[in-house]
Amino acid sequence: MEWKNSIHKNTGRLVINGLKEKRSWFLVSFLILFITVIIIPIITGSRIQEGHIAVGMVEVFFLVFINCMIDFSYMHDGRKLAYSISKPITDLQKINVTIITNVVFTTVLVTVLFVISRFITTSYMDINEVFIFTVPWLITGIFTAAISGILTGNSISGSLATIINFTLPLSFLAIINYFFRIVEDIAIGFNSSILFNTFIENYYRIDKLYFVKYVEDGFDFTYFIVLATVLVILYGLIYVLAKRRKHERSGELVVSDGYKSFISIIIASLVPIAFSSIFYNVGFSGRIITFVILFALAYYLINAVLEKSFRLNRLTIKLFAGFMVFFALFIIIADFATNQFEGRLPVASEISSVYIGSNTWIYSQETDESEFEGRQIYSATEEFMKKADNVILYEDQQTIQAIIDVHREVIRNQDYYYNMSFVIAYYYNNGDVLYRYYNLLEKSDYDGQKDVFVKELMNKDDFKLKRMPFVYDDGYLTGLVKPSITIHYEGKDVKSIPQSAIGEFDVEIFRANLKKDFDKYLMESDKSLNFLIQSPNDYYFMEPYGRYKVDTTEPYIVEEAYYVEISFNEESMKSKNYFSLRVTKAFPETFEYIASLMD
Amino acid sequence: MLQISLLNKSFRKFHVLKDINVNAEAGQIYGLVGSNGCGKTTLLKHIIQVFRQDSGEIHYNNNLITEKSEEIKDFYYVQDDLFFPQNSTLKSLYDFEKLLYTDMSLEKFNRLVKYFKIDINKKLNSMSKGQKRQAAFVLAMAANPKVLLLDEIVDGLDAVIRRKFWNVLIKEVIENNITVIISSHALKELDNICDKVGIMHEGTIIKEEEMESLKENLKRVQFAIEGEYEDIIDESFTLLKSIKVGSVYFVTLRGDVDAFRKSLEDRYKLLIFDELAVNLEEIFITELGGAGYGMEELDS
Repeated sequence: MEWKNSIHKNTGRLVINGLKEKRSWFLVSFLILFITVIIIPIITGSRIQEGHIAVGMVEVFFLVFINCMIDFSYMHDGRKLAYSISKPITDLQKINVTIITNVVFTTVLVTVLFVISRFITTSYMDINEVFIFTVPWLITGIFTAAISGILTGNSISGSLATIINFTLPLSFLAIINYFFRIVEDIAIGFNSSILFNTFIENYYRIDKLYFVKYVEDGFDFTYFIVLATVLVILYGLIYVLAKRRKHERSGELVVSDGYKSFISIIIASLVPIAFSSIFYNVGFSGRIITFVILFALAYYLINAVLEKSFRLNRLTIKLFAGFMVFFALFIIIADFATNQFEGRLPVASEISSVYIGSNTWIYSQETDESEFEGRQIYSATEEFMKKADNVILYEDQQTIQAIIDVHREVIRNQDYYYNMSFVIAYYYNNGDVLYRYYNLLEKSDYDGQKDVFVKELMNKDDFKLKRMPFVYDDGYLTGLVKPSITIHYEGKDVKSIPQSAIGEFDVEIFRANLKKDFDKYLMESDKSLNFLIQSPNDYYFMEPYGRYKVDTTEPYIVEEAYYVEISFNEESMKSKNYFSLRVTKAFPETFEYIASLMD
Repeated sequence: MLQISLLNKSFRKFHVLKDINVNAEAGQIYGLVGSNGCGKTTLLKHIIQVFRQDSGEIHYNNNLITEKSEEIKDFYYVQDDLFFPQNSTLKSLYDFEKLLYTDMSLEKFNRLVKYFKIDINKKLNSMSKGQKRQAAFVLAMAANPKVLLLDEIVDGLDAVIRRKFWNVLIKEVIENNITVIISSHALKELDNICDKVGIMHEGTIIKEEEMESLKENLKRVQFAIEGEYEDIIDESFTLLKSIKVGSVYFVTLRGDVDAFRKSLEDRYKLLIFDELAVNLEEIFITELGGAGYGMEELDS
């Protein structure tokens, strides 16, 4: 019954009356669109393009925003309010009439823009995409303006509240992400990006909420379901808030104490988050202290502005204390909850494949028919990983066990020779995935224990085959035509490599020497973990021994090295048809072989 | 009948309306008078449901008044600080209000426009304060409300227009049996038209009574005596105020005037004794004086 009462019996005529009052706005709007979207492209000879439609849409946003602010301003002035509310029309009926009037106004402007867009002759994108997300933004924006009008008692604060409320889901996301970063600091192996991606892909579908998904993934019927759901929720808020509004507080910045508290907490939380980019390298305690101090300062200032007083009232202080208790509880609970997962290690037999590496951006295809695309590792399936160009998935049980052993050692101790970070992704037989992310920190008293486990892993045949197929896979060259080779000498006295030397270059002898050198290197290198996590496309593990060394006092020093480039006439992403090696004296057998060709 | 019982309202910690009780009959003009800032406008805004009370109820013909009740559609409120939508004229506003008020009468509208000589096509915001009040009053009358709430409606109007106002209002009350609650500081004018008065002070109705009864209860006399007068205490009357102007004393009292005269005669040689007519202003000052309002002495 109450819902029925929310529509005035003369709503249609009241809307027409409202539209008549907007005659001037219609004229101004048409004039703006006509000049910027039609006349200017004609004058400049550029024809109407997507950019002009996009500009037109921005103008529509601006015009609708201004109109909403004007139309809902009756709630922000005692005289207007008394005039409007004293008439035989309820608050809700009045709001409904205002919403419908603005929706009609918006529809007319968007339709005009849509009709103009049909005249685009050259298009580099689907122009309809511009309308797919902007139309729901406009409609939800009108509803948000109504909510903001109800909650505030001043038109300027109403405008600001509309922007704040419209972007509230994004603000939540920023806060949640910050809390994930705290979890990352608390819990070993947890990564805020993984948590964040999992959260937004599985639970908090912000892409759907803002209709961006329908631009990226295409338009489907869920678009209307999402739009209807959002509008129902927004209207539900309008319904509840309109009934509770205290009109006598019109003229204040915010008329609802609840909203005042809510918004001061949200904005005060965003301030330290915004500053966190400046303090990105602080430790956990520094991050928490910075958050608390900046939050307190921002909270005080926001409340001083909202209350127009430098004295805080008791409710504000209670709310601050409440939030601080919540924040402390969050840290304690997060620490407690993540403790049980920190030491979790899989059983090798349950694992289908494992990825370990520093690379988290995977370029691959979902199926053979799919196009290649880039994804964060946290969004990539095992199939996607398998088809990736720059990823090795270890599937041998012994190798998996060796990675688990390395993992165990990393959990025990996160010291290393220098700062580095990497991801381990376990793909379970049952389809589950376990991600762990580790930051190792430079410690002068690092005990070297990780190297023991890493070397054991790297000396497994499966690892060698997958990591360096050119060197260890004897079938690698089968079926491939003879590669073309170029060799450059790098040294203090640069010499050219004679063509005859390249002609005598034997790939098999070269591989045999590399194998000897690598076997030795993998057993002896004290930076083996770095090698383990590098992309398989990078053979630059030789880098520390060659190329240019940077010294703080000395000029660049060039070490003696042979830069070998090998390319096959094979055009597949997966065949490694080109790679290069820098062979220094740290790889003596190979170095000597190349040097012998030059003699 | 419009009945307000135990209505309370606080603006944050400030208790602006305290246990308000009002009883305004149909066919009656109810004068709401009170000290500045006592809550008259706030009370009117509660009746029209612009503000929502913290407690208490408003009934009209025994039906509870809420924002959604049918009865409130017959209420019309003309506020003190008038507002008209931008660029609106009296004609356009009539057309708009016709969509909201079911009994809007074009015939009455035209008649009143002619009577007040208002240009219906002139932008209301370019009109003088007095013209705006006339326009607002015409719209209110044309809406044929059953309850009319007028807040300081005659402020800024000249005597001729005020007389026109009262003529229209009294005619309307008589012919259509409407309830009018009028808040004003023009006590002398209210004196002539009000049937009932509610006197407000600091958020409470300190007195609500029929005008006739108020005047009957409160007496004012002037007398001259030989010697110096001192206030008399007696069970049959209560002296409220006495002042001396020259050799004549003016006394306001409740109770038996004849008993007071006899007491004077018993004590003094009474030279002159006349009973004076009591007006609303006198009642107002007396009642508020009783509540401690305006009793401060100006330090010399």
